[in-house]
Amino acid sequence: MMVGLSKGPLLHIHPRVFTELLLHVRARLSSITRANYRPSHVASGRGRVACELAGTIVCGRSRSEREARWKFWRERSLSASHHVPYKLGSTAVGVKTNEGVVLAVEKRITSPLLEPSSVEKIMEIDEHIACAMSGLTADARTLIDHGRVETQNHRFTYNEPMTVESCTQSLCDLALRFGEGDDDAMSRPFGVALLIAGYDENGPCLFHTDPSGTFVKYEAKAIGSGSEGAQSSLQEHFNKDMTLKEAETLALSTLKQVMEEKVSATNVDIASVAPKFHLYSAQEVEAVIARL
Amino acid sequence: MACTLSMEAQAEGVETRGVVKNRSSFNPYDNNGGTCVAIAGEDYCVIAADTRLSTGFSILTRDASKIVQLSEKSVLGTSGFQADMKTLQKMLNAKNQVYRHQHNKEMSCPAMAQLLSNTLYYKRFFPYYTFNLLGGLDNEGKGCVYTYDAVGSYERVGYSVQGTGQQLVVPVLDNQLKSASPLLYPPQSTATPLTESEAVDIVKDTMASAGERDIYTGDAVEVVIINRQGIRRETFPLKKD
Repeated sequence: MMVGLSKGPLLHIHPRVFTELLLHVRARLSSITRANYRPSHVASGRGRVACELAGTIVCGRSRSEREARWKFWRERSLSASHHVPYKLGSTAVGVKTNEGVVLAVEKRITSPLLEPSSVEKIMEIDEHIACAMSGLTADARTLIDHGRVETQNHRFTYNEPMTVESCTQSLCDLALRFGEGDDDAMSRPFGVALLIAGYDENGPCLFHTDPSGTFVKYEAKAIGSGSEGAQSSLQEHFNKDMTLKEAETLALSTLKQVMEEKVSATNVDIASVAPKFHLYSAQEVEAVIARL
Repeated sequence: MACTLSMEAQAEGVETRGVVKNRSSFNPYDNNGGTCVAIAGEDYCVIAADTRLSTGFSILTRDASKIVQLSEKSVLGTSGFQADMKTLQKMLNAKNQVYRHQHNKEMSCPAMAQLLSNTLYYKRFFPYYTFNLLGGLDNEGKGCVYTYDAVGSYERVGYSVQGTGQQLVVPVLDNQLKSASPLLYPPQSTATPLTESEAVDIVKDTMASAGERDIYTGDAVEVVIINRQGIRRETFPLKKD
């Protein structure tokens, strides 16, 4: 791919790299984010919670600046959760079993010209920790990068895998760091909710984190626009003695119920951590679809 | 004692531009002597050290412990420079506390082993002049001994000795412990097949023997035993000469 910049030479750049660059730039430019960002983009509208943690987070340089920032975020998020009919992130489902954890996400293929494999909504943090996201996926990259560094650092220092809870905690610590330091660094909360699936010395586990930096452990959890329906469906069908195979089916059938399009190998991603991370190939996804 | 020799050579004076100047003979290191022994069994670990602290031909104290418990299942024995030993112990204790708070669990002995290695290596160019043995139980409850050099190179072994009595004790343990060779393939457990009380007896004997010939080893031996029940500390007198 050739990219023309306004001034200067044409650059040869891989389209994937270019997309990533754009996403990074977009997520970091505070001027853009102030103007365009709506907590309505935030999965399950949890930006509100972040703003309600007033007093515990230091924002801006001076007190007045800090207060102004709080006010800004509170108003944005309150209006989002109460008045504006808001659009949420794509649905993601996680199901825990004794064998391991299954994650399934919906990929919104908004155009037939879009390359489905470029929509990446399940990522590996470490070989024993996976992460599914809903909301501003560009923000999730920052979080996941952080998680990858933390887990590797833990291996370096202690020669053991980091526990899933410690990893989740470190991500949530980062989520609360917005507003600190210079104006251009982390001016707003992360607009993404995560499902963190992992397998450590305590067995399999599943965590849900939101932009407020809160994390909660779940047996089965759905996030994103279809989360309400999906969660009640999970509640109905989940049981603790499921096999991993049954969990795959449950996760995907739950997703199917809340998806607008027909489920196919291109518009869903499935991954498991049992006990290592594995992202399902198209064939493996087809196999699960066939069992529905 | 290569270190001491090179320092003395420096202290003799260096000729610079025809003028002989005496360099400062300050040496940041000392070797306060002492011997540490550790033996791993199938489900226990014995770690022992004498309690003499010396410098040159003087005994500073007859009652200085070289062994600290770092976490629930790991115990550290150190010989070398006492000030560095104390600092290292404080550092590891602090890091252990932080780990407990951050991860909400006890640090395992293998984790402590890696942490100790890193802690030593981070001072690669002004090392802690300490020679360490880390003993404890691993995640499966098996006895483990980790042995170190001063800059953090480490290895898990079945038994090891550090300190001024090392050369006296090692061949006795090689002969007496009946451990599988670490060179075997496929690898076998290098833990000794001896029972806990047999291992403790051998440790006491070797320390008494080291005390006979090594002027830096003596006064008393402190033996720490780690097993499923917990950690036990015993002290036995050695000759005071």
